[in-house]
Amino acid sequence: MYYLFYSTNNVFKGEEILKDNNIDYKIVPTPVKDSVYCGVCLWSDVSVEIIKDLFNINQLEDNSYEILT
Amino acid sequence: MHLNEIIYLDNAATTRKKPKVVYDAFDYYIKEIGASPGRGSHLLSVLASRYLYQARKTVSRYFGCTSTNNVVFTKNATEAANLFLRGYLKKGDHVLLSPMEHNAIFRPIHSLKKEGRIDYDIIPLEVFRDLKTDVLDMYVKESTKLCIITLASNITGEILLSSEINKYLKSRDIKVLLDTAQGAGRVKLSMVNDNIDYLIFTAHKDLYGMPGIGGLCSLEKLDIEPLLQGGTGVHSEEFINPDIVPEKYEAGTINMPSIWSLKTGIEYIEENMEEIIEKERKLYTICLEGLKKLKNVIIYGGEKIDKYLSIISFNIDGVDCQEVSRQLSENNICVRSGHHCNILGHINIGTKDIGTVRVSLDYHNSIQELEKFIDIIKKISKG
Repeated sequence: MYYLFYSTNNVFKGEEILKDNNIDYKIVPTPVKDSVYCGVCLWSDVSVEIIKDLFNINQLEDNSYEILT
Repeated sequence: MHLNEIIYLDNAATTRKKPKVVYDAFDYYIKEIGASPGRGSHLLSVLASRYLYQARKTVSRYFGCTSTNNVVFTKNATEAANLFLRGYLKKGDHVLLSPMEHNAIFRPIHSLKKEGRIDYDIIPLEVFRDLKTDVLDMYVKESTKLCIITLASNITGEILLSSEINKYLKSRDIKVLLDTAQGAGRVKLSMVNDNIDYLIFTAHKDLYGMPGIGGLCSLEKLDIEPLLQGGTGVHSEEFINPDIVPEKYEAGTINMPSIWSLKTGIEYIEENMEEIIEKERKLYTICLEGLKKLKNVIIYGGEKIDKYLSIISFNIDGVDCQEVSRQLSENNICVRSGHHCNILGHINIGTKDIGTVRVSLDYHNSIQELEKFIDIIKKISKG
């Protein structure tokens, strides 16, 4: 799953949350069809629900990113 | 004369000496990283973006802000002031100012008044010194939207911040903008606990950063018009800056080497604040007492030393302040004389027509340097 953030700052806030919780992730270029987003996004194959919960707990709101399969 | 023989006592303008870790951070960034954040998806840009996030986090934590998204970097405090004041204030708004505001605040405010957009009033110093809310009330209007307070005067060093006054302003539904350009590295603040809605900072003074970086912090998500339109690295297909914080307010390539060194400067202060303040208190007391002993020296402020930064403004009776500065400079001592970009403050302390000599100390100064300074002032003042 790709986690596409509107703000570059939130990509790295998201990265910190995943890293702190030992979630495997990568920072990858944003898929071309979603080039309206910033240059990089997060990718992880860990359960979406787990990642969304972690983001929510750490004040990374649902409306600050989109999920792309 | 070697440059390392210069006695630099103009730290309120720019701290000349930074901790080694700050130079190292700057050097590392420009030599090893080099790339800019948010510009591309290659590994150096990703690293730069990660560092930018870390720097925002440090700034946010240091000022007790609520989110990294609420930390905007600008080129200095002046740009942050212009960004905020031009974006936030609307036609008909009324603003309150402390009487010690630097031109970085006063000129944008006065300019908005001249444009017919806002009106302002200047609150007497006693409001901040003696927490006189009844006096403050006399200046509040229905249209009062904002009160601007300098953390500390860049002329006298007097600390104006008062949580109690901020709390009172909040009860009157008036937002507080704190200008921390002077004192950010010496007074521990919390935007949340001290009721500071908006905060302006600069790196190059007592935060031990480099010139060329400053910023604006807000307790809540900033929703104003940006000062600059241009490349933000996000939503490049849009014809104007996208409504995304904090990037919306940071158009153009940002000064990442200075941001990275600012982060290091703040961390140094966090680790060493007690020691820094203790040494500066000692230096300040020696300097103040030395000047007080000279009969022709007039000192502005310094009555309660715990309410002052290590800044002293003074004049020598019958000697122009610029002449004092010239003579000190001839003896390899740097101080600042004149109006210090703060006409409002000089009106308030009664030195509008004469200015003052300002000596501003730093942790890196020594007792020996101050002894030489006092010795020369003694000769000039014939005290």
